[in-house]
Amino acid sequence: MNFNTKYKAIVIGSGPGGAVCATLLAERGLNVLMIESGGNFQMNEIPLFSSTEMNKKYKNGGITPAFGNPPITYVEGSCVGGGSEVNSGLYHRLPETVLDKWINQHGLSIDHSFLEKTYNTIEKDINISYMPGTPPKASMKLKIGADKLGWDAREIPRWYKYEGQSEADGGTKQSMTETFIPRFLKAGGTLKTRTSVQRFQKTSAGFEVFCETENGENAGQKTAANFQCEYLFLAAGATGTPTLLLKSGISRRVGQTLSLHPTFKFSARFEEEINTSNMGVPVHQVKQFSPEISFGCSISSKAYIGLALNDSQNLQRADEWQKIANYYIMICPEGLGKVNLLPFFRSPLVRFSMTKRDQNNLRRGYRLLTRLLFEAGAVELFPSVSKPLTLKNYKKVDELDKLSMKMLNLMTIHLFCSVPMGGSKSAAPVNNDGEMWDVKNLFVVDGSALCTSPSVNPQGSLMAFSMMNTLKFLKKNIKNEL
Amino acid sequence: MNLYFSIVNSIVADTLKMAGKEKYIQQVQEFVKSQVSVMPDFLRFGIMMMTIVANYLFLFFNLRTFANLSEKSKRSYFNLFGRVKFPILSNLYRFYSSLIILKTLELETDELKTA
Repeated sequence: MNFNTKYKAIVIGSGPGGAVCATLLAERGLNVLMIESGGNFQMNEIPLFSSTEMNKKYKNGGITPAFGNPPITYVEGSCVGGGSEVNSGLYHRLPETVLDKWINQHGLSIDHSFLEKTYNTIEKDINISYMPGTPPKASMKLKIGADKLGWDAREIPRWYKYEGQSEADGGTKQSMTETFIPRFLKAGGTLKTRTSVQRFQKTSAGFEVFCETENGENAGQKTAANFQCEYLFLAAGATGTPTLLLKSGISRRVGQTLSLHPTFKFSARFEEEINTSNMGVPVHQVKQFSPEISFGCSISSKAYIGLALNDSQNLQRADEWQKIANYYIMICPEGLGKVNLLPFFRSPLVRFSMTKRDQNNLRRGYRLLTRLLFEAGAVELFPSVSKPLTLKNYKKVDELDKLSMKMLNLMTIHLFCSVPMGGSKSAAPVNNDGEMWDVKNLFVVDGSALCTSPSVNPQGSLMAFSMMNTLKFLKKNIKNEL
Repeated sequence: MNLYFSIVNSIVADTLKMAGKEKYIQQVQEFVKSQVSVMPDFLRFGIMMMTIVANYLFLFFNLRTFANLSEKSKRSYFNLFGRVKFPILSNLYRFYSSLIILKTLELETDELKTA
């Protein structure tokens, strides 16, 4: 396929932020190129939550640590559709308390009725709905434990489409490859996959984007490809977007305010069977202690359970996987991270530091979750720590307190805020409309632009801000040209 | 690169033999290799160097590289790295064991589903 080299707009990244932006631009008749570094896979082409998915759809095969004390392993999507292809599809709007903070402390100017309309449009576009029938038993355990303690536990809606009305209908995740990407292509947009952008440069006519594209016939061989555009939109993810800006010589307040949700996991064994090979994604979360602390149930295939059990030297228990499920504590931190370039290497160095308050919240969180799981009927808990450890009752949670933070194996799937929006140039690199303060016609439309941690799964928030800022861009810059 | 992958292949093969899961050796070796090839470049460089150095480190204690140790010695070292925190060696153990466990358990599950 031959590609033109000149476009009105180029969108780098095809995740939820990039796909929404590129689709709106293309549907308004703009000549748009969307560039994606990963491959293009149909939703059911690769088994969900498998090692193949990890290798083909995750950035760097999912082996990506944020260094710090303790280090935190993170994963990001790297394929057409980005994170929407690999996440669990749990949907939240941005909590009002967080939005107020963005307005009052970060100077963001928000038109509330515009935001409401945007949420409604997105929820319709990706079919936000509840799971039909009874949720999985492992998920219900959270609800049972929370009810006994009088805590708020609720089913979280997802971007799924169900044909039937029973739990037997697993449904189809309404990821970007099922929703916005087909719309983008139908509107005449051009999608270039397996093409990684090395850097870009401001020119008199707009931007020159320098890429390397994988040669289809010879995997591993790459050829150079350059593209020009008038408007450039960055949506390469919370580590990819700042990396690209830094490589392009734009560094003021870039990559210095990365945030993420530190997450700690337990495997919980119950007396009865709660897990099956087709359990899918659990849908409950405990919100009693949010926004600081949330609990949930995560992917609990035998392989993932084995991985979690290996941490605490309990791998031999993996044969009982049908009685075991993985649960997590996720905190909303005040600590910040950094994305920096390393000399001689292409990959960025990511660091994250938890504050004392974050560490206390994490410790409070695992105490609360331990209590809940024993209330729900768990007989043994295997925490994800680098030490042989099994908790057989709530009192044993003191054993966890004796461990230093670096013994806790933390991970995260939520990263954001590395190039945040803000009401003043001195405080943030991106303005209210998602445009870089220092570079005209350069926009950030992914999770990087969120002001602080949203305290919930960020896809809903970042899609809403991407949509609002793209519509504002169209109104301001394109209206009279068409 | 060839030296590194020969060490990794040996680690995978020995680990699976100890667990009685020899039939998965080739698939797990391919998975570990493909994961190493996509990981961040600076991390890949670090892990490759540490693995090679750690392999030769055993010359000082056993007069053999780790890859050439007897199965019994390897088994006791694997147990030791898993239980006692030796900087670098324990991290390498955790890195390789995670990949091996993930792929092996997945292959077992797939096999049960198709049976």
